[in-house]
Amino acid sequence: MSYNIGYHYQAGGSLPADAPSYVVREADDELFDGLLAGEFCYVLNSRQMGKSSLRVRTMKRLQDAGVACSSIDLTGIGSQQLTPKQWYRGLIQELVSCFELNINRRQWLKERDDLTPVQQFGEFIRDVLLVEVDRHIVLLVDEIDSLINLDFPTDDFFALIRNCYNKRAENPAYHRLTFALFGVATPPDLIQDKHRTPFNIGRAIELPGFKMHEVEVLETGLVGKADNPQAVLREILSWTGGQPFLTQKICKIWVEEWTIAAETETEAIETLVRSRIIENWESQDEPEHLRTIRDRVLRNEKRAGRLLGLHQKVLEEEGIDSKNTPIEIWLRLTGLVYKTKGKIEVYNRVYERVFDKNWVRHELSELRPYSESFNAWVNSGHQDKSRLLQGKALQNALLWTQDKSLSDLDYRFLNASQDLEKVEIARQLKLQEEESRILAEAHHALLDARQKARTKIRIATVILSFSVFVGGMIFYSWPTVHYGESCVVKLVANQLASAREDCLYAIKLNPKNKEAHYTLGQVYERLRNFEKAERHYKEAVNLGFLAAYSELARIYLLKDDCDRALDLLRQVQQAATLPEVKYAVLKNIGWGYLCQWKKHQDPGSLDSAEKYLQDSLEIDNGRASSHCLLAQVIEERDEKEIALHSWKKCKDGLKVNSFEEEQWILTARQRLQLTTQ
Amino acid sequence: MGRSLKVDPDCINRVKAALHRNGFPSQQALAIDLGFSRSTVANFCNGKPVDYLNFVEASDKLGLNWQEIALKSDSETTDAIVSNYVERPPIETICSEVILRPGSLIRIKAPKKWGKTLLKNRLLQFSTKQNYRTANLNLLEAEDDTLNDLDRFLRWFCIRIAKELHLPKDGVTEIWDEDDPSTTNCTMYLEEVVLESISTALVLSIDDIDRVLTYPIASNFLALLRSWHERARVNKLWKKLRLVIVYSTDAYIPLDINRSPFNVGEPIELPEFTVKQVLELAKKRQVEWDLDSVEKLMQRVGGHPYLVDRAICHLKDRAGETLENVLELAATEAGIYRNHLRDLWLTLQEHSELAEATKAAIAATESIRLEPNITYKLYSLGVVKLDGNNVVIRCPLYRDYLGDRLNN
Repeated sequence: MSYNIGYHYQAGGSLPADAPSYVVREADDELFDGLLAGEFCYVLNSRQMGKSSLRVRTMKRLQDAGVACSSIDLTGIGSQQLTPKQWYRGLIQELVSCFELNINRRQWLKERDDLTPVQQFGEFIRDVLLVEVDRHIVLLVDEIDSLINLDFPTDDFFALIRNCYNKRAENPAYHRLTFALFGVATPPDLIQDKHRTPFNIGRAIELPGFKMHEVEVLETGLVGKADNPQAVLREILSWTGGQPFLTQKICKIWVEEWTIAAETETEAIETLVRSRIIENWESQDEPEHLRTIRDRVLRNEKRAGRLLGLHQKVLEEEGIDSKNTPIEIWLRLTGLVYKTKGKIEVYNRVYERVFDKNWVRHELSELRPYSESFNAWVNSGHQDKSRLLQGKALQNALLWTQDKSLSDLDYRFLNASQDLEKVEIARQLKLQEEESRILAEAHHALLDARQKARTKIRIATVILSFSVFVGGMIFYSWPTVHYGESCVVKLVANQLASAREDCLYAIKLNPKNKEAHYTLGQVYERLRNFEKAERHYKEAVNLGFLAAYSELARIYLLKDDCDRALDLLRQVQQAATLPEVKYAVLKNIGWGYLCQWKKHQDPGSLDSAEKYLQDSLEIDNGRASSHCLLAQVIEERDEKEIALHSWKKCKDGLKVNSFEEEQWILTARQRLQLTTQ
Repeated sequence: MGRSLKVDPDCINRVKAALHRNGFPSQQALAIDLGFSRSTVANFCNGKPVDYLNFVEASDKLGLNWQEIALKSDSETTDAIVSNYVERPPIETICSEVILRPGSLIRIKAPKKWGKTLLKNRLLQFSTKQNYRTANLNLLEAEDDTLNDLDRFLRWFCIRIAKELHLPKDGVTEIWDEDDPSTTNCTMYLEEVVLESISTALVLSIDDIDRVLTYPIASNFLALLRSWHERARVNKLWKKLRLVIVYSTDAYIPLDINRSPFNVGEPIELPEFTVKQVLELAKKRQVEWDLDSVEKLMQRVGGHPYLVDRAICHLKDRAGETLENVLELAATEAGIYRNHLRDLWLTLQEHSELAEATKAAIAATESIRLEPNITYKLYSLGVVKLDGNNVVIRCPLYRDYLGDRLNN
């Protein structure tokens, strides 16, 4: 059997007017008839529904019918910081070029320098276009939504279209001029002024997907490549819902690459769709289609959450009643869902599988809660410090980042926020030191004054009240920030006794200061007082301080209390994702399993230990402590030679931070010495 | 002349040494001295295309003989193009068919040093045989300043086309009117001057088009190309235009898809060489090889066209050398790939996230998943292959060399 050479399917880009695989729909005739009759028509719906192909085809038909047509691509003019003058001039040039008008455009425009750009355009239509071209004129404007990207308001353009229709009453020539608009937008997106909008006087052309009775042309390409082309096509449509791009793409794949290895068309198409469209869709999406839909949903961060929420509802209820809310219309514009018989449903089975509940759940969790500040900061060239997060907002953002893999820019933003906060705290500290100095001086001055002379009591009183006033002020803002912070500062400087005092005082002022408890835990660890360390870590854990879980677990592990340690770590395993925290958790879980093995000797524990330690190395494979533990695991397997490799990494890389790390490095040195002897 | 020259990879070290020898502490210093832009000097020093006159001047400044250090590849003779080319069916046939269609667009995509330029040159040669006119542009020749401004860029673009077609440069300045959008000026030049003057067809080829992706003008420029392509469907004059764009990555930048040439036209993605094709290449280069040798080589470098070709050429020129020897030293500083590997390594070093990702890919035993941006960049460098959504290091040579350096 032969097949039609020269017949090819096309997915992506507009089909040429004579494309054999062009599917004629109701909209074709509607649009053609409407334009021929001089009506203003517009086709506004989601991407890749065949708008451009429809435009190309209709234009050919109109031309065949003796109509002078022009296809105006606004993106070709561009949006790059254009002034209205430039833009309208570009538009006029498009018309000159398209209709091959015999006019020196630049000269003509120069002579009308005093007019506004819109007026120039209007005059051009009246005096040049309608005069030079004596036939019926149809202007088809594609990508009309690109107007939204221009730097200047574009209402005038749409008002002009409406004007052209209004002028018909007084000037019959305008009957010869008809507009058609194509794009991905809703009328209110383009112009809101109800008195100037042309969309009230135009005809909306609906462009739904291919229907079975319309797709006979597609069968032609399948002849010779299938026993029953019609059945194949029916199956394809059952998956694509008639979505033009997908339908063409699947037909193309079938013809070009597929060999039927299945019993029925149903199975064959199912396998094809599953393996070539749905699985690994992000890397198979060539030319882009699914990714575009995804981008359209997620692009506007403010809207994304609502769109996802609505889509989720549509998925869960398998269709919801249409209420024509703005968010519903936006979701329809993405192409993901469509409206039929008063209900909103997912467009087709492919989208159902690709953009399923898991996908929605995942994307919802990825949405930044701080998107506005972030975007403003990025747009300011990373300069606008007022956009950085502080205090509670910063804490919430940091909490959210756990379990997320963010972009470099996100991390820069968060780091910059944290740095700013540190600077702010340091500044406050300095301020308070200053104030305490003033207080001390005022105090001295007071004593001085008292000692000096009684006659100066009035002055003294003033100074006293001043110092009390100042003191009172300081007393209010001093506590939590001052002592809590200085405790940390001193810990870092290894002034342990002093750190301990400050932490205790901070806790005294605010028993719920979890940071202070955590820091105090660390101080006590350094002091080798593990009992007290444990107590304060526990307190921090009870107050919900995430990092403390890992530290407390370590304490348990040092006591060989494996079960409690693992229990604790499992609680935070999911929540942790800041790299340091995640690393610590995984490493400690590995340690926990090693501990269990030593107690119970069940092989499962040893395997788990290795797994988690490897996982921790994936987060940060320069960290020696994982290697130290791994070495021990390998030794437990009686592979002492291989263990040496890890011991070496342990010894070389370890910066000793804690008690157990001291032990490990000693062991490492021992083992390595043994070999060299 | 509108030709561009590149420093031969084997001579790059000489160039860099000459830099120091002549007292230039950095490429920037040389740039200032010569009055060139930094990117021009960078291109010169890294074996990338540089305008012929600049190349000669820079060579002179460094006390080098420009004819000695210049690479004769792009400007290869017709014979060379024909004789060294290994066909990868059905790619060549598709290209030849598509280029004949009015208003067609061909996209050639593959990692760097994959043979894209050879394929493109062959296609241009074929076009010339059809009596078509050809204009061969490379965006690497555009300087930073040019790429940062749409108007400057489009002027540069038109002037390059003028040069290729031997049209007077003045034609561009005459058409350019600041009251009009730059895109309109550019389109007018192409329509009223270029396409008007051509009777058959014009094949406009743009190499390294992904260079523009990192600049803000990208979306406007690409939309312009796309509009020309769409125009060619309906406009008699524009049907003469055929576009060929060549790139290593359509990196993950959310361009509104209806406004770029990256998702229309005929996509041509070059695969690695097969064993059969390597044998054929050896034969063309007049080197006696059997299946065994080919397999040994490919075990080390896979079907990476450049790596394979380099080995063959090296062994052709040096009678005493053996393949075993070459392979043994391949991943070292004494090996035949040292320049290539070092360049790769330097690139990774300049972008720590790429280095990290490569390290992870090397450490992993199976394919791993990386961020799309990084995936595409590593793919375009040729460092990794794609496995669904995951990546895997392309060949043992890279694994050894890069793994070694990344773990220290």
